[in-house]
Amino acid sequence: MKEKRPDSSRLRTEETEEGLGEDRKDPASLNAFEHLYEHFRGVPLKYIDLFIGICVAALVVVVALGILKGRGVF
Amino acid sequence: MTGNALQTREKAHFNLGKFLSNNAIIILILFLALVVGFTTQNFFKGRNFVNLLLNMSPRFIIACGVSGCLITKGTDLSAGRQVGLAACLSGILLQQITYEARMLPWLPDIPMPLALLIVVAVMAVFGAVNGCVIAFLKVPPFIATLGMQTIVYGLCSIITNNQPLGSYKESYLTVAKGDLFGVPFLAIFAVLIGIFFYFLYNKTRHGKYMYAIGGNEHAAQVAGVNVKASLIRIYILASCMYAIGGFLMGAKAGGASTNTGNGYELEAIAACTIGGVSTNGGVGRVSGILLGVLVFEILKICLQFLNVDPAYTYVAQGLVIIVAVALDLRKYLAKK
Repeated sequence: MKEKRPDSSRLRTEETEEGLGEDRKDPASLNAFEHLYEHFRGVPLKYIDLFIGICVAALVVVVALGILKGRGVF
Repeated sequence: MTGNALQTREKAHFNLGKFLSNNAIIILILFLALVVGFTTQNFFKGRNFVNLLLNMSPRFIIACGVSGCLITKGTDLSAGRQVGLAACLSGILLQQITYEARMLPWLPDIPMPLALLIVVAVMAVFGAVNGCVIAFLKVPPFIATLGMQTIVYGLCSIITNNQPLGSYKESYLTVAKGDLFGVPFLAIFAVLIGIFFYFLYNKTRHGKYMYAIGGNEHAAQVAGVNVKASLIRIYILASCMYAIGGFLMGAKAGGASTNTGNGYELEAIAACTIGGVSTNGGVGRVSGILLGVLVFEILKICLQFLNVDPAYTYVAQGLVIIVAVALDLRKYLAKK
């Protein structure tokens, strides 16, 4: 497949500069996940780690409860 | 930055903490598998391994399809329903000719490979529609594929009249039951598709374009990548994978209904995320997808062996998906 080469005038458009700078992204151009993730930009990583830890603990509790339920304990 | 460049940079500075953080779920579930293996009987038996392979194979194929969408910062929520429609179409085309309650009594006897081609061709149309809506109309993939999910479900209900399908031809059932030197046909299908995707992602222009679009769509466009055509190709390929996945699921189950494939899109997205395919695009490897599917299936088998109540199994799977997304979010924030 033959690819079209960009013309030189396009290389100087605002779009180009916008694409090159990660931090200068137009919010409208972000995808759904990035929109979601951008909401957490100010959240320190330790809180994310804490959340992950809580989820893992919850997972262990759910599995334990599931085993007990499966064995008819409650 | 492309996925390959990022991975090369990460390899240069090995960090144990980062490794544990990136592979937390994999380590956790492998630990669970070891615990279950040593505390229950038959877990490490060959039969269980074959079952694992049979369960993994169609799901790996579906996850490969979804991975292309995820790498380009998209998603495909219609995956599960498309798998269901493909399974139903396969069933309609491959019911026994002598079966009295055939869905289409006037249909002639269709050879199994031709039926597979028909199903793939039909499903490719849905992929093309998804791709065109996303590429040309700029509808967010989340919304476009959510709409397609409902459309496909509706079509599936219309086609099957909400009746379950069964009584398939023996040649079709052999796809799931048969093996070559002990290796199930389903696993052979999955291996071939895995090799194809590895080649596609790493050795072709299409793969490079895909990572470029996922890394920075505007930069890729300016660099001469035909973003629209690439996106359409990715969604068509994804639908073809759902068609193959659905075809195999139908053969494996020996039947299909409108509920076949329900929720598979989330399983596939979760497997991809566990395997390191970032929902933010630009990153993902076929080996990672395989690992993600393997880990998710091991989790399910472990829960079955532990005799966990089925309702709790869903909660556990949901928590694993949340942890996978949270880890992806953590990586995104750490990168910023």
